[in-house]
This record gives sequence, C-alpha cells and structure tokens, in this order.
Amino acid sequence: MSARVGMSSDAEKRAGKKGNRTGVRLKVARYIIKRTLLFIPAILVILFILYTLIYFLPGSRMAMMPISRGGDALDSLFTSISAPDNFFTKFVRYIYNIIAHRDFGRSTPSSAGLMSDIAYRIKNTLLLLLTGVGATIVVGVPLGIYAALRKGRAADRVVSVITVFLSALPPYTVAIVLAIVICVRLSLLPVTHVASDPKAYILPTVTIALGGIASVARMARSSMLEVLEQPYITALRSKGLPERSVILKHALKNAMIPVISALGGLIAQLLCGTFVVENFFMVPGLGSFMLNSLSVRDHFEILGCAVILIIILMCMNLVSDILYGFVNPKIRLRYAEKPARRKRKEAAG
Amino acid sequence: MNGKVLRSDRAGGIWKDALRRFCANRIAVISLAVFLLICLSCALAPWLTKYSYTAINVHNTLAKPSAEHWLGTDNLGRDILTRTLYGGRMTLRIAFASTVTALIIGSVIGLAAGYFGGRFDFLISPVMDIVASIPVILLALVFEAALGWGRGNFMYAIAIAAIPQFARLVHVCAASVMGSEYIQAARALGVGPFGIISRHIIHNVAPALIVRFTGALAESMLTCTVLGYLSIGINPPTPEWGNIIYHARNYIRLAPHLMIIPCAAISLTGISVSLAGDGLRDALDPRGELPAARGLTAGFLSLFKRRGAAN
Amino acid sequence: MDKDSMSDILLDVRELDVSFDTHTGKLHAVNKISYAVREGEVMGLVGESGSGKTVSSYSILGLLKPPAVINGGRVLYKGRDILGLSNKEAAAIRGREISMIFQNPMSCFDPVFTIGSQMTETVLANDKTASKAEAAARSIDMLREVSIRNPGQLMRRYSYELSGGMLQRVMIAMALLCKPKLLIADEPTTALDVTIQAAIIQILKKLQKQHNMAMLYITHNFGIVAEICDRVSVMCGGYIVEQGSTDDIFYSSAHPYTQLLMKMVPRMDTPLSEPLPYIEGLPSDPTALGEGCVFCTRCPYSRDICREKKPPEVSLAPGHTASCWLRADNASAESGRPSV
Repeated sequence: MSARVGMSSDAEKRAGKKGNRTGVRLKVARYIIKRTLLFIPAILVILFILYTLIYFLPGSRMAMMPISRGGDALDSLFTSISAPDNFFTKFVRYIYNIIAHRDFGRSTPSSAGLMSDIAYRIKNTLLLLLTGVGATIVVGVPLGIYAALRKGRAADRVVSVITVFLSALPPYTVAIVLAIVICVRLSLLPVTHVASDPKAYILPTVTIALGGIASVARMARSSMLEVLEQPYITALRSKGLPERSVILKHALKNAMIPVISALGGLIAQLLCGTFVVENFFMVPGLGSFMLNSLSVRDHFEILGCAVILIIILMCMNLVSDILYGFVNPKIRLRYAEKPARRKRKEAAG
Repeated sequence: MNGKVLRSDRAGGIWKDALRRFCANRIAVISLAVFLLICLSCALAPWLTKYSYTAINVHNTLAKPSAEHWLGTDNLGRDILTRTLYGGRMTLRIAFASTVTALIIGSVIGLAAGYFGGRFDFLISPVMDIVASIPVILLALVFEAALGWGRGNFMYAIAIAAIPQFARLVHVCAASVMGSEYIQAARALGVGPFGIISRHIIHNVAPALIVRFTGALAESMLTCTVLGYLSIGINPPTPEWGNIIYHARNYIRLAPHLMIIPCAAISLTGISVSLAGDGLRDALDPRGELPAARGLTAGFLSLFKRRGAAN
Repeated sequence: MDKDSMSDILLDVRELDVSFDTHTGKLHAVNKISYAVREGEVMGLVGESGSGKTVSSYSILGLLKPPAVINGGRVLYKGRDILGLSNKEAAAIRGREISMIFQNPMSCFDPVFTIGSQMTETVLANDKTASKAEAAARSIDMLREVSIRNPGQLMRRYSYELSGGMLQRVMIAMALLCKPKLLIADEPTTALDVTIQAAIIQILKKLQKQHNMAMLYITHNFGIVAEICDRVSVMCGGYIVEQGSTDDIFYSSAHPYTQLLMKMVPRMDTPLSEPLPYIEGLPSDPTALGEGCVFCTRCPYSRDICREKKPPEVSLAPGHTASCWLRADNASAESGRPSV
C-alpha cells in the first residue's frame, strides 16, 4: 500500500515538474509577447500627438515635407493608390522613414540627417540616465528596506528625514553644492564632463540619483512595512522558517512589486534630472541639444529628439514591465488568460 | 489581531474629526502656516516691495544685505527680495494653476471611468498609462516649440503630466465604491447617477484627493523651477525661482546669497507642502487606509511624536 | 484524571500575561491565564471575539509583534520555558514541535510563491537532511492526507487561484508536514462556508487521531467544541472563567458566561420566527477594567461583590474549575482555594 502510494506520488511529481516548467515558460513567453505588442500602439499614439502639435505650427517645416522619398516601397504604394499629399500621408511617411531608414528628418536639405548628428549624444544621455537609474535602485531600495526593518528606531528616523529633504530639493541645487564642495573646494573630481574619464560620471550620477533615491526609499519602506504586517508573514514564521528567509525571500519579493511597477515613472522622472545635469556639467547630450534646438526654433530637431527619447524610454518601460511580470505571478496570469475570462474574473472579484 | 474598539469620541463627522487631529499635529500646522505665509507674501509682492523687479542699478551690483536692500542685490543691481517674491509669484502661480487643472480634468476622467466602467474604462486606462510614461520635460519642450516660447506654455505640459495620477486615484476609488453593496442599495432606492457621484463617490475620494493634491503641488513646483533653470518657458527679465538660480550660478563664488536665497525658498516651500500633506494624510486617514496615502513621509513625523507608531 | 496529571503534560501555560501598549493606555489582552494541554488531547479555548484567545495562542509560538508586550508568566513545552526565545531558537520549535493554522486561509499564503514551493520550503527548513525531491514527495503525500485529489497539480498553483476551503486544507497539510506534537488551530473554520467547515473539522479530527498529536482548538462556537474537544477553557475579557472536561462544561457549566455562550449556538429546533439569541451589552472595555469580575457588567446574576472583587477560582469537580462568586459562596467552605 505504502509502496504504491510512494510510486504514484513519484511519478506524479516527475510529470508535474515537467509540466510545471513548460507551463511557466509558455506563460512567460505569452506575457512578454502581449506586453510588447501593446507597446507598439502606445508609441504610435505618442508620436501622433507630438507630430500633430508640431505639424500645425505656423510655418512648420513638417507641413512642407514631401511625401515621396524617391522610390522606396512606400512611394510605390502611395502612387499605386494615388495618395493625396496631406497631414495623414505625411505622418505615415514620417513613421515609415523612422522605421525603414532610421531617418528622423533633416533640418536642412544638405545636412547628414538628425541621427548621425546626435548618435554620440544619445549615448551620453543614455549612459547618464542608466547609471542614474541604477544608482537610484541600488541605493534607494536597500535604504528603504533597512528603514522598514528598523521602524521607529533612530536609523529609520534618519532615513526618513533625509528622504524628506532630498525630495524637496531640486536636482540643480544638489549639483551646484556638490560641484562647489567636491570640485572647487576639494578639487577631487573634474567640474566639467570628460567623456573618457570614468570619474567624471560620479557627480552627474549622484545628482541624478539623489531625488530618485528619496522617492524609491520611501516607497520601498512603506511597501515593506505593509508586507510585514500581512498575515502570511506570521504564517511563514509559524512554520519554522528562519527569520532571514522570511524577510529576505518572502517579504522582500512581495515588497518589490509596487517598487518595480513604479520604475517606468521613475525613469521619466529622472530624465528631468539628466537634462539638468547635462546642462550643468556641460555634457554633450540630447537635453542640451534639444534646448539649443528650442532656442533656434528648429522644430524638426525637437520632434526628432523627442521621438528618439520616447522610443528609448518606452523600451525601458517595457523591460520594467516584463520584470514586473516575473516578480508578480498575478500579472503574468492575467496576460496569459483570454481577455474575456479576465473580465469576468475581475467582475467577480 | 483582535479588532479592539477603542473609545470613539466623534462629535461632528469625519471632517471635524480630521480638523481636530490636524490641529493636534504641531509640525503639520507649522508647515501649513509657513506655506501659507510664503504664498501670501508672494501674492502680495507688488505691495510688499518698493522696487521693481526690472529696476537695474549698475552702481550697486552684488551688494550684501543692507537696510536698503534686505537681501542684497544681484549682478544687475536688482533687489533680490523683490525678485524672489515676484519669482515665487510666477512659480507658485504656475504650480497652482497646473495642479488645479490636472485635479479637475483628472477627477472627471477618473469619475467617468470608475462610474461607467466597461468600454470607457477600457479606453481610459491605457491612455492614462501612456500619458504617465511621457516625461514632463519632453512634453514641455514640445509645447514650448508648438505654442510659442517664453509665455509659460509649459504650464500645460505640467498639467497634462499630472492628470494621470489624479485620474487613476479617482478611478480606483470610484470603482471600489461602485462595486460596494451600499451603492446597489442606493440604486435600488432610486438614487440617480448624480446623487451617487455627489453623495458617495466624492465623499469617499475627497480625503485621498486632498492628500494627493499636496503631493502633486510640490512636484509641479519642482518641475516648474527645473524648467525655469533650463531656461525653458519664461523669458528674462521676468523672474522665476528656477531662472533666478540659473542666472545666479555664475556668481556663486562672488555672491553665493544670490543663489542660496531662491534655493532656500524652493526647499522651504517644498518641505512645508509635503509635511503639511503628511499631516493632512494622518488627519484624514488615521488608520492608513487611503490607497494614495501610503508612501508619504510618515516616518518624519514620528520623529516628533511620542509614540513611534506612525504609519 | 489525577493519575495522568504531571507526566504527560505537553504544554503548560502558567500565569501568562499579555498587554498592548496603545496610545489610549495599556490594554490588557490576557490576564495571568493558566491552562495545560496533555499529549494527544484536544483542548478547546472558547470565548467571544476580543477575549484574548488568539493573543494567548500567538504568544506560545512567539509570534506577537509590538505593540504587544508579554508582562509575565511561563509557557512550558515539555517542561522547557519557550516564552521569550530568540528568533533562531523559536524557529527550531515552530513547525517541528508546535505548528499553527490560522483563521483566514486566503491571506495566509505568500501570493508570489507557488503552494508547492512554500510546502517544500517548510520541509527543508525543518529537516536539514531532506532533499528537494523528498520534500516535494512528502508534501504531495501530506496533501493527499487532507483529501486533495490531484496534489501534483495543486503544488504548482498560487494561493489566489484556490478557494478558501481548499487553502485551509493546504494549510493543515503544511502545518502537519513535519509531524508536530502540538497543533494550534486558531478558528480554522470561521472564515469558511458552513458546508466546508464540517469537512475541515472531520479532516482535523482524523489527522489528530492518526498522528496522536495534541491540539489547542480556538473557537467561539460550542457546536465545534462538542464535536472535537476533550477539555475546554472558557475565556472572557482576558481571563479564563471556567475550565473543565467537555462533559463538565456541557452538562454542569458553572459560570453564567459559559451558560449564556452555550445558549448562543443556533439550534435546529428553534422556530424561525424567534430572534437569534445574544448576550446583552458589549464586551467591557479592556483598557478600563475595574476591580471586579470581567463579566459583571453583563451578568444577569451580578451582585455588589461581583463589582468589587475578583472572584476566586473554585474547584467544582476534579479538573473542573470556575471563577465566579456564585460558586465561591457555595464551594469556598469545602475547598477554599486562594483567590487569583
């Protein structure tokens, strides 16, 4: 009897494990595909809004853009349906140029095109933004978790006070103070940005990250506190799990869910700081380029840069969304299900 | 653990209760007073100052604080106190206008999505997600380019960027209220949509909305000064806290007060708004149940409270 | 009763005293209560909500969090005081020696891990020698014991995909994975449908017999007490007011509170037109306990002395005690125990 039970459970386990792995993989794949597909219309909508805003400017060069590019696939399509030369066909042409030719327009007919002008600037901006986001998460999350675990004690209070002040300070004041103290008084680091010198990234990164650290730490703290109050944490303890695994495995993973879901907003928020830092430390990046374009009223360049930035940011959002799905099985499940069933479930719950 | 019912001594509804709790919170009251004082003095700038913010005096540049010029003068000999007050006028006006606009539009969108649900909800939620993912600075740049430069058009960008948070908050609240039994009961009794929205939804959303408003106000103000610092939006000589700092940074070693004063004004305003908002949160929501209320700076307040059990 | 007194006592709670520090003052949740659970016996802890049942059970496993404070007393498990152990020492007892199931199964599972991973983790945490495969096999066997049909599939599910009844079975299985000697069941059926309640109680009863483990069953429902318990302690306002075997309590209950509580169980034979019975008044405010008996404000028989002095604990029969002035008058002459 007992042998039979053991055998059957063994077989079941093996079958279960196999089914488990492929099932999860399938779900994850479906989730990623759906998420990615949902991003394309989102990007298109944003592009359309920005394009419309610029197009209807008096004297906008967008309106003067020709819809033919000289014999590519879209040209032949347009001639075959004898497409009119209007706002919509121009928008289609603009999008097609971006997708097919990586052409974001050119400000003068003779120029090499926006993309080649700003390729190295994109790199600088991205590098700053990514190090900023990285530093924010690496510092902010442990800080918030630590404060939550020491709730009400001195360490928690210190963290709380610091975050209140940091989040109320605009990023440029931080940049200015840091530059004066570290670069000018102590001359530890270079004031202006030198691309080849890795030390030159320290101050910009700190400046970008500080505001973000405050908000991430606060979010991580309150989310961790909320999780620690949950009945399942007590239940896990009651089963004899070591405290370390209760906190670092179970509580942490649950507490990270809201933090990761806010990552997209965080990236958008830190872009502001990145522009300030570019301006202050004189980093040749997209922000300074766009400000310059704005002052010479080159709408083509502004739109092009905005489009590029939006695409980059949306890709980052996508990554953080997928990450979110990995951490939160509920979301994964929602996307793996058929929408109709999901609706019904939500209505019931 | 056990839901112990403590003595409740409510006399006049939740608003009176909240007011009493707020008044008992010294930090919050002081913060609110500081914030109102800043707002008031900025609003009354034309009557409080005797100089014009454009009056240049080349014989008295970068002066130290004196009886004549309380906070000194800048590189063109303009009175710093005057410019700071007028700058705050601009900054706070933009912050208030954009946040109030966002509050109204966002609430209407959220109410509609929450009340009607269904297809409308299906349309609104992704749009709000998209709007929330556009960085405000890009939006501001495009608005400036599109609507003309230097006339404060970036205000619309700040407003649009703030809409989704209000819309989401009201949406979540309204949807949960709509899903509750007492709304079904009210409907069964023949209460119309207007009655349900005005009586039930708005009453439920209002506390969270007020708290969120203070947060959004502080954010809008910071965004406004960052844009001002980047010289987007407001043309000199019109002062704005951000652009005052931008122009002062060249004189940082000669006359640091040029920059410190507006910086201090921004930080003071930001901190007082967020502390007052925290106090409001604690007053309106003593048990921490509001969806949007979590994640504010409860820990800071616990510093000044005898019991360490905030949040 | 007396012959098997000391030797086989598994859990001995002595004068346990717990309070909460709230901003409106000290709230005494548990007042120097004492009870014992013998090996293989089911002890019922009965009382209305707020009477301190849950708090006293949490303190056994050291699961209380601030603002709860343990003021004194001892919890002897196999003769060893387990009150105030460090986290590490307590973890060695939790799960392996004493396990617990909770009131609301829906919120007692970590939502981001599968049922299976939580179960195997429990085995691995308590049995360092087990391999992962063994842990999974043991979990599946245990799930089968709580009458779950396809445990292999269930192991891959997340808690929010399952119903409350299902989750409560899983929770029982998880609590029994490491063969504890004592199971604390904190109102395990309160959050469930009535139909499922019966099934859960049957499972608990079966497994308790099968594993010969002791159980501390916390409930407010005397129907369940009759079903499953060997002995009963009745709690009111943080005090144990009556203690005895199930028969003692049911057939010769001595405390008015117990008698009233028992009348509260709805019966099939009462006509529908009659309103459901209830005890008049609210449980007395635990922050403002006076000198007298906790039940005096609601007791139909209360006299002056009830409001002035705490009633002594009176032994009515071997193993049957009650704290009530009504009994003290009659009984103090023959077995005058000192008042508590």
